[in-house]
Amino acid sequence: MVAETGKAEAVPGAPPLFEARNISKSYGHVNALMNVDFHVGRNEVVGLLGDNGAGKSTLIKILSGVVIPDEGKFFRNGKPADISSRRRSEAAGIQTIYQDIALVGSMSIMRNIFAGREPTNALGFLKMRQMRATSMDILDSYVRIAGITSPDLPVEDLSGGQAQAVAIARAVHFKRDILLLDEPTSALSVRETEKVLGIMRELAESGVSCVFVTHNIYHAFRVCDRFVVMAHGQSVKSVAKADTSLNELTDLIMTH
Amino acid sequence: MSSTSTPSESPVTAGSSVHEHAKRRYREASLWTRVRLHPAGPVAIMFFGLLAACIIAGLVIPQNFAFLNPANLTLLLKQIPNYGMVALGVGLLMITGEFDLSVGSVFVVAPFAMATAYAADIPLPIAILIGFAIAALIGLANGVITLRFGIPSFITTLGMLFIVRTSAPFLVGYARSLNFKPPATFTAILTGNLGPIPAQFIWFLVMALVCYLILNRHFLGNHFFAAGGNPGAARFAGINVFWTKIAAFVLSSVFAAAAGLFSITRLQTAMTNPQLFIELFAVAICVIGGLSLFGGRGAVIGIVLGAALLQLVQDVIILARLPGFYLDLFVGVMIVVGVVINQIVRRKY
Repeated sequence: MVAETGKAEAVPGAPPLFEARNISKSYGHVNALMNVDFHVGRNEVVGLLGDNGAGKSTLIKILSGVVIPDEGKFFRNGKPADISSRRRSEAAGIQTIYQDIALVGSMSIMRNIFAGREPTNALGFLKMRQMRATSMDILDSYVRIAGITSPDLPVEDLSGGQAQAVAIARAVHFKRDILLLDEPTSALSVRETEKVLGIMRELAESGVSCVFVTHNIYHAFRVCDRFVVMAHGQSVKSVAKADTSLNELTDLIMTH
Repeated sequence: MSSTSTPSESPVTAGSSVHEHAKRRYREASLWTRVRLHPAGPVAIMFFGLLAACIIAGLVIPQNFAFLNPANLTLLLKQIPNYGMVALGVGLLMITGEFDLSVGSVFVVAPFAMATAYAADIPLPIAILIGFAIAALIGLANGVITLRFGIPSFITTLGMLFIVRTSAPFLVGYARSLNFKPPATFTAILTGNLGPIPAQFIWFLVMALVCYLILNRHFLGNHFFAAGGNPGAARFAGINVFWTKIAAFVLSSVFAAAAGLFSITRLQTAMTNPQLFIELFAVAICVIGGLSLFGGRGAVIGIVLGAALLQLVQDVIILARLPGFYLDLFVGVMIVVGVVINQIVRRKY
């Protein structure tokens, strides 16, 4: 079950974990984003809401380093940050988890976790024992999803939620502390949705902030500490959970 | 995670006590799971089934079916590496999701270059290196053309098969043969016998072991599987799919050249006329051995067993005095059956 929300701390005066200021991006005549401010606090799950074409995915692409904004500045802990490529964005601690999960189905969980970051000896041979032990720790620390009994299972044998959890666990293990989750629950069963929502909550408690992009405001309302509503390329409202309601959020999305 | 403000329970800094817990919760996959998921399962069943039948028949009717005759067994072991060595390289490449049909020509041309260089009084190690360099260049060309222009490697390497096949006869004349008489110790090390076991078979096993280590114990193998299984995910994980596949193209070509070197050493002659269909037999062995045509799936043991099964069937056909075309018939049926079995196994267990 999903843990209670609302413990995101707000140390007065402390800069947020990550902040984007005055982000603008246009494609030809279309202004995809106009002067958008966005920030993620520590231990926070931020719900990024809005209808299709509101600019959510452009913002996510910018934050993950895939799209370069025309204007805007980024700060991590108050210090300027460079997220002008995917690698730099990752180095700044940001990882995007897409709907179509970026894992190799025919490979084992363990080999997926270390794909591209294999621990090897000087000759390039894999440190198998270390890989297995670390994968077990990773699965045990962040995932704890029933049905995964071994890091040797191929990813294609996992359910959508389990695979998503593995992708999240991999990101967290490699020191990403801001996860951008783009519609993570849209293809999941009810039970699995519960698990993924629960994982987001647990991550926030343990220091990994999440940006939850979704159309489903009921899911968002369950786990998010704060909501950012976007419409027509602008950030319409940023509101803490305590100060709003499902009805108000629905109205915000509908009326803009 | 330096910015984590929760003091204690940060998962990233979790210590070794967690691992004790993890070990209770997770374990290595069970033997049954590993066998069930292993791509070489079907070929192993077929090979060992046929082998058992041959042994029984050899015991029951030794005068009609001389399978257990030591001469027959030695001959069998001598023949497995022929296609098997080529198939190893083709298989590595197939796991990255690409094809190599040009191996049939590399098998002929690279060793012919070695023999030509050696005949021109170039020292043997250098002559051999020249042949391998030519093979590597052909592999590199295959890879660069395929990946730069985004065309199917089936087409690139089919073209290269014809181009390379024609080039040697074009340069030196068709059906020319050249003596290749390296020092006797060299010939003995490559193609002699170790007791009843042909050296060539041992070399084949050594090459298979090298392939296994590359695929399963080296980071390059992890990249091979990732690049073949899901190129998008591989790129997302920071793997350079282009260079990974180039490496596999080069390896495939080099393995074909190595197989050709064994062949000319055994025959003491290098020839420019092609060995027909060796590239297709190599692909057939891989498919029968459980490698996916789409990449990302396969095991070296499958290639070894596939090569062994092919020669075992040929041996049965000879011993039973059946017409030779039965082998082609068998290969044809096995390719189709092999792919179907693999599909079924993957879909449901």
